[in-house]
Parts: sequence; structure tokens; C-alpha cells
Amino acid sequence: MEDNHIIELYWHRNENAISESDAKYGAYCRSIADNILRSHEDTEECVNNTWYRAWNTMPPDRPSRLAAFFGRITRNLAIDRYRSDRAKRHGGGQTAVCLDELGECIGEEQAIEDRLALREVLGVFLRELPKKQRDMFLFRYWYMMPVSEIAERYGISEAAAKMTLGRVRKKLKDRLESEGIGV
Amino acid sequence: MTNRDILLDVIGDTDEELIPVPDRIGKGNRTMIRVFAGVCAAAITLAVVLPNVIKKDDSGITQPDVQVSETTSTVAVKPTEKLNSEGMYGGSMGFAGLMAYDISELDTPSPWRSDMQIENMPVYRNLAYTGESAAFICVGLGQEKMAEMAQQTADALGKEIEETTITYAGDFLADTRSEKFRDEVFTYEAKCSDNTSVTVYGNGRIFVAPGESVPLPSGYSFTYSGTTAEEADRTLDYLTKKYSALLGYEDPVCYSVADRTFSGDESRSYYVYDKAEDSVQDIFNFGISYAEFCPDDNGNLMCIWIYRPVAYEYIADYPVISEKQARKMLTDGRFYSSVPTDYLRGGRVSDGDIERADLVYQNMGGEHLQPYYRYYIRLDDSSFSMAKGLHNYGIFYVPAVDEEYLDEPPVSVYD
Repeated sequence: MEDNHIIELYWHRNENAISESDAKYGAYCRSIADNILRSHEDTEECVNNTWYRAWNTMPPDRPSRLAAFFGRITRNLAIDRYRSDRAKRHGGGQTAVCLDELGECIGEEQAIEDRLALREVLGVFLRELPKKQRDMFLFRYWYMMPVSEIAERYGISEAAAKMTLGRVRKKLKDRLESEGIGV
Repeated sequence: MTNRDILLDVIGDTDEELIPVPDRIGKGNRTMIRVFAGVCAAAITLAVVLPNVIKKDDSGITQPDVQVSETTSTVAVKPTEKLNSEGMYGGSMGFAGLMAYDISELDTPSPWRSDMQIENMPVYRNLAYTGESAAFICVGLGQEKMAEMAQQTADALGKEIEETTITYAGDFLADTRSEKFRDEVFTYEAKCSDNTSVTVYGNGRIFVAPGESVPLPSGYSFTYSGTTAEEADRTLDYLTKKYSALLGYEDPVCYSVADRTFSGDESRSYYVYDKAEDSVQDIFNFGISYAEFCPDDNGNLMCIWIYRPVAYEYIADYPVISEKQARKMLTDGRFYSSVPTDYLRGGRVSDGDIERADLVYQNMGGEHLQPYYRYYIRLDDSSFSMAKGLHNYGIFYVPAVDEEYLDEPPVSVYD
């Protein structure tokens, strides 16, 4: 079913919207949640909650890119779950590793208070990056995709993928420092 | 919360347009960037439109008037207005691509043939056009006309309307959006006796959803995957006859198209359009006047979408270029497409990559409904993680109207 048809089902409060979303984007959302949580039960719950959240936001939302719309909801739900779990125990798939890697970009001495400024700087930074580097960065830190999978996707070695990601992190660190964010 | 946690959150807020939607993410996935569920013009969604051309009478009220072919052949108007291609720049839902093991899998009964000699084609104004200030929400028919269409639809289904619900553009537009369209009716929904709902949109599109999915008689196969083309033809023939009063087509032509998911599974769409004798009218109907039947997971009929060209107003007949001229523009990089050039073999479109050409009417919610040459371009397979032997075909458009009449002809993406 076409994306706009799925959206119309939501707008019509037609419960088939859920099954159609799951049929087309369930695997996609499960992969995102699983990258973050590495728990089948938690992943299933996140994906189910994704459709519930979408149900509550359409209407009035009319996403222009349905995959990214669902993916973002799943990512946020999974990270919330990860944080909740982290307070109780360790674990959580790629998220802990990704957080460690992001720690290279940003210091902890001074707490970030202006998220809007950070968002703006990051947005400009990503737009300025060559597409391949930007996509690799987002596969890693938006999707929490394992480095090995990113390497496979681009037909490069894992070491090469790590090197590219490391260079992008270094660029981001320099940019954030030059903007006085999180130094 | 640590700074790195905050950074992770902020990365999550990245603009959707920058987020790469992967062809395959994780293991065992089946989908992804399938923007066009069906290939045909039909699949293209849009804001849609109408079967009859609408003209304004002296009172200013829009009313269905003549058929397209009548306007083209006898009372052609010379073009004076320049056309724009708003909405054709692509990118709104990922990139437009279709996967198949061979281009022949994407065959449709498109009426256009390369040996046709077409010098002029009618162009229409999209009366449901609202523009960017109103988020391109499609309104324009008015409550009276929408109520009439809902009643006609219910009558054709043999249902009694028990309750109606109206939504307005203002229900969905943020306060800062254009005031001009806020009070326009966006949908007119009629709830019928057995919970069947009929929804008419402000651009003439109709959505029919039975209260419960309708089972097909045994022997008919109606699924996204696992139904052959021959089985689909039989099913479509049955559904078209069953709903003939609803469709109102004089000469229905059924067809299905099965593109593939990244794992190679079929994803079949089921269409019927109203064939016309006049070749230009036929091209118009194929892309603009059609219906789609949608199955549920159990092979039952879940819903029907009907696209009626009731919100277009004839502007004039415009000179069109030949496919050969369009092909030159394509290879020069002067096209509209949402396909990133990274996915092109060698970074550009070459003659050898052109797998198919078509001539279709297209409108992505913009001001004008006009013809475009649509090309299926073989993309660089190594850019995608697909099942072995599968190919990805990107969709590219070149305006068919002579560029003398275009407000801003496409410029080369290679410059």
C-alpha cells in the first residue's frame, strides 16, 4: 500500500492503519529498536507503541516521509526505554557504545543548557558534510546501526568505516568547540 | 542527563529530509523506500483529480462540463499562460524507485506509444491547489458537490447514509497558515448502514471502506504477494464487475503491477481505469481517472480508492516536444527526480540506462496538471542491498510541454 494511503487510514481512524503500517514498516522499526535495546520483548513493545503514538498524532500530522516519521518515533521510544533500563541494570545493544563514541565529541565539564543552539549547529554541520559521511554518521547515531553493518552496506572494511566515523566525530568535536558548546 | 545523552537526543531531531531511509536495515527486513507502490501513472497518488473537466459558469460556480477529448479536438485554446512544475522537484517521500528482476515485470497497459504523433496536449489548472502557505492541503470542490458525490457513491453501493461528518482545512492547518482556505471543506464523510464509510476529499478523491473487509468467493486470489498476474486479472475482473455501478466506467481496463521488495518479494497493486477512444483522453484517464482495490492480510477487499478528475479546469492546448527531444534533455541532466545522483551509474543518466519511457499526466499538488515524459532509469545496483538479481529503477520526469511555455524550465543537475 502506498504511504499516502496508509496516512489516510490513520486520518480516517481506520484500524487497518496499524496492520498496514506493521506490514510495510514493522521490520524497519524493529531493526531500529533492536539496535538500541537488543531485547526482543522490549523491541516488540516499542514497535507496538510506535503505531499507538502514530495513531495519536495523525491527524493532525501528515508526515511527508512516513518511514522517517515512524523511525523517529521508534528511536525516541527505544532510547527512553534504554534510559529507564539503564537506571536499573546494564545492557542495551549499541546505545552504550554509541554514547561512548559521542563522548569524544563533547565534554562533560559544562552542562549543555541551550539545546536549540546545539540543534542548530548540528543541523548546519550535517548539511555541510559530504552525503556519504553524513549518511554513515546518521546510520550510526540515528539508527544505532552496528559498524559492521554500515561497512557491509558501503562495501568497505569495518576498520575503514570506523575510521570514517572517527573523522566525522573529530570534525563535530572541532565544530562544537569552535561554537563553545559542551567544552 | 549527560552531555552525550543530550547530543544523542539532538541527533534524533535531525531534519527528516537528511535521514537516510535505508533500503534494508538490520536482518530479515522486507521493505523500504518504495515510494511508488504501483508503477503506472496511476500509482502516483497525488492530490488527484477528476474525470470531467470543470469550467466556471457565469455565476462563478464550478460545474462538470466537457470531457477532455472534446476540449482538445474541437475548441482548442491557444496557450498564453506559462506553466510551473511545483511539486515535481521530488524528495517528499524518499526517492522514487521501483525494484524488479526485469523491467518487463513493471509493464502496464499505458496508452502512450513511441510512434504516436502528438503535437499538442491539453493542460489543466488544479482547482484544489492551495500552495505552500496552506501546506498544499487539497480543497476546492465545496461541501455541496462533495455531499452530492458521497450520495452518488452510497447509492451505487446500495447503502443508506446515516450520518455525515465534515472536516475543514482549518482543522489541520496551524494558526499561522493561510487564512484563505481555513473554512474550506477538506473531507465529507458519510457513514452508511453497515458501517461502510464513504469519504469524499476536497479534490474529488473518494475513499470507500467497508465496515468489515469483504471476502471474495473461493478461487480468487487477492494478495500483495503470491498472486500471479493471471490470478490478479481474474480477481480484478470480478471486482470491477461487482463494483461497476460505483466506478461508472464505460470501458474499464484492469491491470496489476507487482514491483519487488528488497528481499525480492512481490508487492502487487490492483488498478482499473476507464479507457477512452481518443488517444490523448486515454492517456489522461490512465493517469488521472482510475481506481485501486486494496486487499487486507487475509485476501479480502479492505478498501477502494477512486480518483475522479472533477477538480481540473481546462487552460489551453500546449505544444509538446517529441520523446527524442525529451530524451536529450534527460541525458543533459535537465529533469525532475528525487533520485540522488549518487545512485546513477557513472553519476549521470546515459542512453544505456534508459529502460523505459512513457508519457503521462502528472501533478504533485501543484498549480498545473500537465504531461511529462516519465523515464525508468536503471540505477547502480551496488548502491543497494537487494536480493541477488534484483534491479532498482529510478523514476525521472521531463516536461512534455515545449519549454517556451514553461515558467522555469529544468536546469541541468550536472552544472
